[in-house]
Formats: sequence, structure tokens, C-alpha cells
Amino acid sequence: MAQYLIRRVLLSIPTAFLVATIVFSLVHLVPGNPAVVILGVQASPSDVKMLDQQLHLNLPIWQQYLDWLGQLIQGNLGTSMIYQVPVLQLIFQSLPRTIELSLVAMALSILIGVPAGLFAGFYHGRLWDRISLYLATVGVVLPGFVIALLLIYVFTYRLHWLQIAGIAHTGTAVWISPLAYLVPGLTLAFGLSGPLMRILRTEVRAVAMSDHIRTMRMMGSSEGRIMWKWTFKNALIPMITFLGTQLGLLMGGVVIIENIFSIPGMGNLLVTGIFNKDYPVVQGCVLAMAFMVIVVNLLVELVYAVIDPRISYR
Amino acid sequence: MALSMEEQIADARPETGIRSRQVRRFFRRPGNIVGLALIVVIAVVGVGAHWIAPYGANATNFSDALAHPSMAHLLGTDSLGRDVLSRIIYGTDSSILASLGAVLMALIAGSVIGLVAGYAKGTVLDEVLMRIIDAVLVLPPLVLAMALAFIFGQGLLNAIIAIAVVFSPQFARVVRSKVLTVRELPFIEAARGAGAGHARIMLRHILPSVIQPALVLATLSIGNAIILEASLAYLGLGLQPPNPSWGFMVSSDVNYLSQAPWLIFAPSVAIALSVFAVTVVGQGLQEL
Repeated sequence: MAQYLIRRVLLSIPTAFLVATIVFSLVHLVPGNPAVVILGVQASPSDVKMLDQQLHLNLPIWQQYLDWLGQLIQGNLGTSMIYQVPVLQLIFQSLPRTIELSLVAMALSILIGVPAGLFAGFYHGRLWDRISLYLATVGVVLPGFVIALLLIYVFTYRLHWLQIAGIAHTGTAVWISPLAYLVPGLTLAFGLSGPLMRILRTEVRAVAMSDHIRTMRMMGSSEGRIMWKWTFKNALIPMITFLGTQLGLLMGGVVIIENIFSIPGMGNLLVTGIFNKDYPVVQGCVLAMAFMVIVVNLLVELVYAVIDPRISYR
Repeated sequence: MALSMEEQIADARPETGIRSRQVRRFFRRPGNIVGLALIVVIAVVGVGAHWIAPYGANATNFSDALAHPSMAHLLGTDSLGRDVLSRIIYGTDSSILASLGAVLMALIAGSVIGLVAGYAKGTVLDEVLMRIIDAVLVLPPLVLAMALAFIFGQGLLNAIIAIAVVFSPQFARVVRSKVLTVRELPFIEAARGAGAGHARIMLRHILPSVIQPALVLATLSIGNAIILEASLAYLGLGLQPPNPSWGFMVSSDVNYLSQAPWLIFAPSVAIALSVFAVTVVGQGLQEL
């Protein structure tokens, strides 16, 4: 097991390295001088030259790359040009909010998607199955910001449920004001639970036909027990795969949702970085989000190895 | 007249065309017809915006700002007194063209990369291309698109390129995996034996056999591209104001959500309907 673990971790290093290289080249190989972009076209050449020096843009590209990579390995992502603090510090300040929001979204999507998928699969072709399929389509068709604004409108202005909980005070940790995470979490879960439901539905349909379920039924197992104990277990792997692969999309959703609900997470850091033309912050955020995806992919594979006895630790 | 060697090889190629039976099957599903009808409506509105829209896209009338939906303004007016319906109509072409353009660019770029990588299977070139693609796929789509739109600068064309970059890895993967099976088939060997060069084999013989899954992916990607474009526009990274774009219409008047919800929900419905239409038709085509 330990060997397997080490091997998986080592295998993700080249990917991380390549991602870092891509992020670097995005900023540096694109035509146009970042210094000019930051200062504006009317900036005087001497100002541009000064900023060039400050950002080390005057060095040859390979040297910039090696310097940057060296700093990155030491955990230095540069200094924000606006806040004048290390980018890593900004990321560590905002990361908890983003992780909390993602976890709330994942939990809610499981709470909604799993029962819906199980029922849809068991009662295939009935009314509930059809309703849930339509709802899943709605979740896929609407962009995150539309769902968010719709939920805010309904909960705040129509039902007046969230006036006290306050949707604009999400600067706190989830355990301090869990209600504040409810609507943003629901928004993200809306898009996630639809596909999750579909996956479970298909899986349930496949498993429900299989021999061992027929045997269980023949032996007098109750339908509820079959659904939760035997079918659900089999559907776990595709479910984890799905949630793992959706993290990237979730990260994108998080950017918009944090923006709408003014949650001071990584997404908001990225958006503010973009509007402030704060290159180091943008670079750092993109890199941090990509690394998070790599780490989660790794975790997903390890979870497989634990829950699926067919995967050997080689 | 006897068939030339080229034509005989083309004859030996697996069938890839669409038959009328498939067309009939497509039209048997009512959902597909609704989706197709919606697409036609959207296309007409997009092309004929100039004639259809009751007001100009930027015709401001401050005395009439935030007017409720009425006969004069079917979907009300925004905070600057501009007719919402007209702005939605004028915003159609940018939203739709952006997503179509981005998917087309991704289809071409991704197919070329996939074709070359698959054809050069096992070489350093294949390895390098695929590793880069794996790495790009690690970056969250919207985050990558935002970063690219930021680096290229705000504007519609840059947003289109950004979305195309985000989508092309998927096309490359799909095409490459198909190329891997096709390149081993006898008709490719025959073409090689007949003296065809690498470029000719790739474009004339392999491409027609591998393009179908890429086209299916393309139809399914258009919906995602619309959403991505709307999200970029929402964040102010798409088409620049005062030009109307659906995503930016939502974000620029977001503070009027309680007072004038139609400002937010009318363009949202436009986005949702177009994504719905292309998704339904895409799925319908996939099932053929």
C-alpha cells in the first residue's frame, strides 16, 4: 500500500511541473509586454523599464523561467503588486473559504443526487424518473450565476427566509455561520447533482438486472435493503469518479459563486487579481487551483484502492 | 473507366455518411423538433436583429429607466432606460457566434493535434502533445478561460480564442483515440502502399473516418461554450460595453434584482433557451 501511495504521488509530479510550465508560458510567451498591460499604453518608456526591472521582465525568458521555477519549489509565488504581500499568504487566507464552499456543495449534491438517482433507477420510466431527468436538464442548461441569482431572488426577496442569515456575510468560516453557505452551496450543488443523479440511475439500472440482486430478492431481502446496501455500494465507484472529475468544473463555478455572494475565497482573489492586473496573484491562483485538482485526482485514486478490492496496490 | 487507385482505397474505407433513415429517426422525437425550431428562431433573430428589434441596442431614455414590462417595452427597460428585449435581440449574434466560433476553432485545432499525435503514435511528438493536453485538462475550464482572456485582453475575439483553447484538448483526445484504431486498418496500409505521403494519408484517408466522434463532441460542446461565454461576459471579460451581451446584461444590472428582476431573468432565459436548444439537438444527433 505504501509503495502504491508513493508511486502515485511521484507520478503526479511531472504533471504538476508541466502545469506550472504552461501557466508560466501563458503569461510570458503571449505577445505583448505585461508591464505595458499593467501601466497602460500611454505609460512612459522609463516607467515601463522600471516595472520591467521590478518584475525581472528584462532578463532572458529561460532565466526568468528558471528563477520562477526555483522560487516556486521553495513555495514562493511572488508578491502581489497591489497588496504588497506574498501571493502564497493571500492564497492561504482565501483557501479555507473555497474548500468549505466546495465541500458544502459536494455534500449537498450527494444529499440531493444520490437519493434522486437511486429512486429514478428503481422506478425507471415512472413519473419520478421523468421529473428528475427534466430537473437534471435544467441544472445543466442554466449557468451557475443564473441559478445563484434565481435562488437569491426566491429565498431573499420572495420568501424572506435569508434576511437574518444574511447572504452577504459569508466572510466567516462555515461552522460559524453555516446558513450563509447554504444558498451558495445549493447553487453549486444544483449543477452537480443532476449529472450525479444520472450516473446513479444508469448504475442502478445495470446493477438491478444483475444476478446477485436477483438472488438477494429471491432470498427475501427487502427492497429498501437492496437499494441501499447492495445497489448503492456498487454505484460508489462511478460516483466518486464523477465527483473527482467534476472538481475542475466546481472550481470554475466557485469563482462565479464567490463573486456573487462576496465570499472572500480563491475565486474572488482571482477575479480581483484580474481586474487589478495583478499578474503574480493571477498566476498564483491559477496554479494553486490546478494543484488542488491534481491533489484531489490523487486522493480519488487512493480512495478507489481502498474501497474497490479489485484494484490492487501495485 | 476503371477506378483509380485512390478511389478504390476510398471505396474500401468504412462508411461514414448520414442516411435518410437516421434523419427520419431524428425527427421522430418531438424534443429534437422543438430544439431545432428554437435554433432556427435564434438564428433568424441573430441574423435579423437589425430588423426585428423594436429599439436600438443603445437607445437610452432616462425618463423611462427601470420601466416594468409593458406593451411599449415587452421586457421592460434597464437602469439606463434601454429596451431589454432589443438588447437581448442584439446580443444574440455575439453570444451564438462566439460559442460557434470557439467550438469550430477547438474542433479544427483539436482535430489537427489529435490527428498528428495519433498518427505519430509512440514517438516523442505524440508523447509531448499528449502530456501537454493532460496538463491543460487539469486546469479548471473557466479558470483557464479567465486567465487567457485576461492575458489576451478583454474583448469578444479574445474570449472566443480563450474558450477554443479550453475546449481543444477534449477534441484532441477523442480524435487521437479514434486515429489509433483507424491507422491499423488495411485501407491505410493500402494507401501507404499506393505511395501516399503522410499528409495525404492523414487528411484524405484517416480524417474522414475519425471526424464523426469529433463532430458529435462539437455539437455537445456548443451548449457549454455558450455558458462559458456568458460566464466570461458576466465577469466582464467578454464583449465590452456598451455592446449588448447576455452575460454582461445580467451582471451589470445585478443590483436591481429585487426592484426589477426582469432585467436579470430575461437575458438568463435567453441563455438557458439557447443552451437547451443546442443540447437537445446535440443529444438527438448523438443517439443516431
